[in-house]
Parts: sequence; structure tokens; C-alpha cells
Amino acid sequence: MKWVHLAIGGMAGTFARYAFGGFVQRLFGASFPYGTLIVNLTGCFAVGFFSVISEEKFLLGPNDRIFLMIGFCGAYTTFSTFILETSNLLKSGENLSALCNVMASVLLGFVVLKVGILIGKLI
Amino acid sequence: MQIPRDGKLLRIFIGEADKWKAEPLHEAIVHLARKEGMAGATAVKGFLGFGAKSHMHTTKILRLSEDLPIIIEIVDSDEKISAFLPHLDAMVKEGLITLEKANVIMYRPD
Repeated sequence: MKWVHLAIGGMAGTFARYAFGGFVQRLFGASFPYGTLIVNLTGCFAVGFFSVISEEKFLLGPNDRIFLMIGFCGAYTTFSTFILETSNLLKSGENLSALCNVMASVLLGFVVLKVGILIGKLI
Repeated sequence: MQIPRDGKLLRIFIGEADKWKAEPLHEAIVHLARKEGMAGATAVKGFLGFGAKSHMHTTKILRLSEDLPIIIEIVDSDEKISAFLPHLDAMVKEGLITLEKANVIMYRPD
């Protein structure tokens, strides 16, 4: 049964990333990987939120965690695309943009994870 | 085969994802150009561009790299290009086709 939760969560996360990432990218233009950045940051927020409501509020059972955290968040966020797009920025000489992408993804990732955790604690 | 000195350059701007009867459109056009006895055809893939819908396509951003621009260039006589155009009218549903004079300096098959 857990494989079904994993598959459905993964499929939903993949479609969500494709749709939302594409929407954000078209909204902000092609000069910077905004789509991947926003998708990864919102994913960090979501996993922070789910981790608290699961571990401290006990609102998520094992299959819910598999569906939401491993399946959905795992497929929704993407490390490989983040690295590829950072590499593309470096290849085209946009070193500052590449650095900004790394710093924003990692540092803001921790920040929004913390925000997700804090909001989860309020539930 | 010879191309007259006063030839024509046909440029076809399409997308990588465009299809003609389940075949990639750029392949279908080049194959048809060969079948119709055109002097030659070259398909070139672009790494950045936008078209009529103003959607930017670029290799830099993975999500925007799905339908990269392709330009097919064909140089031949005015008559042969004119005979080829009706085929393109049927095949190219979305894109840009331009025609300009080409001063053919050299065309050597060997």
C-alpha cells in the first residue's frame, strides 16, 4: 500500500512542479531560474510544515508521511535541475547570478523551512 | 545539380516540438526537400528565442528548453522554391517563413 501512496504522491508532486514552476518562470522571465528556486523554496516550506504536524502534532500517519513528504515533496522539489541551471549560469559567465542562485536556494531554504515549522507549531 | 547564380534563400522558423503526422516537423521538411530534389537543406537548432506567442525558449532554464527554435535553410532556384512552398503551407501550422535573394557564389557537390 505504501508504494501506491508513494506513486500517487510522486506523480502529484511532479505535475505540480511542472505546472507551478513553468508558471513562475514565464511570469518572471528567462534570465534567472526563478521557477526552480520558487519550487524548491515552497517545497522546503511544505516539508517543514509537514514534519511538525507529523512529529509533534501526530496528525500524519505513516502512509500520509510517505504520500506528502517522500512522494509529493520529493518529486516537487528538484536538486538536479537546481545544479544544472546553476551550471548553465556559470557556463554563460553569469557568476554572480549563479552565486545568488546557490545562496538564495540554500539560505532562504533554511529560512522558509523554519517558517513552515513555526506555522506547523501554531496548528 | 546546379543552382543559378541568382537563387533564393528560403528560411523556415519553427519549434523543435512541432510535428507533422507524428514525425518531427523539421525532419519531415528536410526529408521532403530531399525527395523534391532541392539542392540542399540545413536544419539548425537555436539555444534562445521567442516567436509569435512571445514565450521565451532557452537552454539555460530547463523548464523553458522544451521547444527550442529550429531554422531550416534551403537555397535553390526561384522556380524550385516556389514549387516547394505549397507543401510548407500545409505542413507549417505555426512559425515563420521568409524568402530572400541569394547570390550563389559557389555550389560544389564534390
